Amino acid sequence: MKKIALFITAAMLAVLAACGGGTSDSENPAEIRILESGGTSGESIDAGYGKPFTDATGVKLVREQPGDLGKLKAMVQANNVTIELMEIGGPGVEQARADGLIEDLDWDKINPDPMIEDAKLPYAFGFQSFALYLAAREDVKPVETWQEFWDTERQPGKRALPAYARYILPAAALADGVKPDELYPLDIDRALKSLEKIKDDVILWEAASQTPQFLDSKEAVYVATWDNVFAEDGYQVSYENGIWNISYFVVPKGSQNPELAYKLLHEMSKVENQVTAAEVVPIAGPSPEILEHLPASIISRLSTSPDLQKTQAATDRLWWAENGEEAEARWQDFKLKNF
Amino acid sequence: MSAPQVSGSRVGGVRHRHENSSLLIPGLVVLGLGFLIPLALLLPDSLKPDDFGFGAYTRLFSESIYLRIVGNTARLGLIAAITCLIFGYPLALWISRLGPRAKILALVAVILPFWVSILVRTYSWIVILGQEGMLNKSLMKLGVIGEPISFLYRELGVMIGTINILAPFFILPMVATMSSIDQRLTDAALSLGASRTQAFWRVYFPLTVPSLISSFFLIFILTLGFYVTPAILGGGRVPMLATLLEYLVSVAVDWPLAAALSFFLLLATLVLFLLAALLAKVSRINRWREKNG
Repeated sequence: MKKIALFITAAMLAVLAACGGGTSDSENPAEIRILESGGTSGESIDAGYGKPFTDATGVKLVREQPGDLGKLKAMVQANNVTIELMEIGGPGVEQARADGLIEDLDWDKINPDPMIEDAKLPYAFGFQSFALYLAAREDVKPVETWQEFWDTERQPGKRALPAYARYILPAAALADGVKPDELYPLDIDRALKSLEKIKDDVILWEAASQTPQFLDSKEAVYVATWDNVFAEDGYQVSYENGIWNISYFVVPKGSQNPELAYKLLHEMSKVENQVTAAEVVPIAGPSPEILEHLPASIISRLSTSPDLQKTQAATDRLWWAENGEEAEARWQDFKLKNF
Repeated sequence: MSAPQVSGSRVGGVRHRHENSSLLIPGLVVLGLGFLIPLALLLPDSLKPDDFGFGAYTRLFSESIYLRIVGNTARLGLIAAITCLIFGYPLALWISRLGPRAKILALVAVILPFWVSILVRTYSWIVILGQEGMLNKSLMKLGVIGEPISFLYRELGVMIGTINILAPFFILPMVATMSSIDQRLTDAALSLGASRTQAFWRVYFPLTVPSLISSFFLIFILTLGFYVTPAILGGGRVPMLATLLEYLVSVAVDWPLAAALSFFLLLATLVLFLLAALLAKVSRINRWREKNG
């Protein structure tokens, strides 16, 4: 009996050892793994950048999702970085850098085509500009401003907002009448007071892909969303007055093959690839010339189009790096007290 | 958790015990590698130095928000356990008195949902409880309500989903206990002049109390760490310990605090578990005293 028990133990240890000991050929990899936010944006990466990258290098692009800072920290701390690039929003980039989780980029090796200034950080490659925009169900009053979004008398019903402080607080401040170009430094008190007015009518989402479902199931009348709710599908969409942000790719500390990552980033800097991506989903790549290459129908929905930029509020990455922790804590506290 | 029973023969106990303990080794290895060692590695994280020397525990107990989430979770756990008790006890009683064939059918009906993924079951509740869901549509068609009721994205929806998934953990041990109780005890009480109510409360019910206590605490403890259902049905509006942990680990990347909270949860669970065991024991001793004058 004892022998059998010992045998089973040994067998299990062997299995565990075998699981842990996977090897990979980093000299000549067959694939590159990246962590990105998925959804339609992920599809645009495949079409716009994955295909030309594979054509040029013979290496397959594998997308994983979702990515969050916790996952990045776990990989770096365990010294087991399985991805070459990770997508993070602007404020997250600063936090990852402060925590020592990402490498500086070698821009000479990336050798990019021209890029807008904001997208070219020493430690991050800004690959797309996107905006949180407003959308309504077909059978309710359309929504074009944050004030209308907040006005529960004009249109009763639930509103779905992102669960993240860095989007919901700016939206609340704008709804209270803060001008888009005066949004930062963000007045957290004012934002929370504004949120208190609609607290009983708020649903929070964690992934933008939940938002069409909220509208379809009539769970919500309005949603603030990105990249997932389109006029073609019968929703009322307004790209004006959005809150725009840049999404970056970073190289995790201790990643296996940065050279390959640089080659993929190089593809992302090419305007023709960005055009292909924008045709999949209206998100702007970092080329200053991209608008010249796109039809008006797509430009009118791009967060970087000059007309929309006039109405939009930008996200101040550095303010969030400085004050993000406090804002997050206050938002969590608010949620607990009011929801 | 099983029915109170005096363990079998004690003859040759030493030799038996020896063999039994070697059979534990595989389980202990898995538990050690997969749980105890990672847990030990987490401890220093929770004690990362701060101004007072108690690591993240200082923040855990000084910032009211965390304690309030702990309190909120405990309250929901209590609601879940009490609801399971109210609905589960009569159901278990009914099942335990069925004939053998009907009993198997009833037990299968209780166990069947276990075979369906918890995610699928939770999303099914969205279909049923939504504004345009089956329940609201039926109630409106029947004219019971004029406006759809909001079940989802609040505590009500979370509780419905949680109780639905945890209820078998209450019902199954209760059925096992009740089935092992000798029916003749109630008959004897009746023949000695007790009314049906008296026979139930003074003879039958006390025999189920130890199992009832442990099942009650089991539901409570399982709710404390419940994640999937509150995360999906809560719509970010029902803060509970497990969703707070997820936030601390992935979004805020505050691992020391997450570690401190985990240890607090573990300790609280252990204390409750011991309390449940103690209560069950006390009720058993009381019964023994009553029986033996």
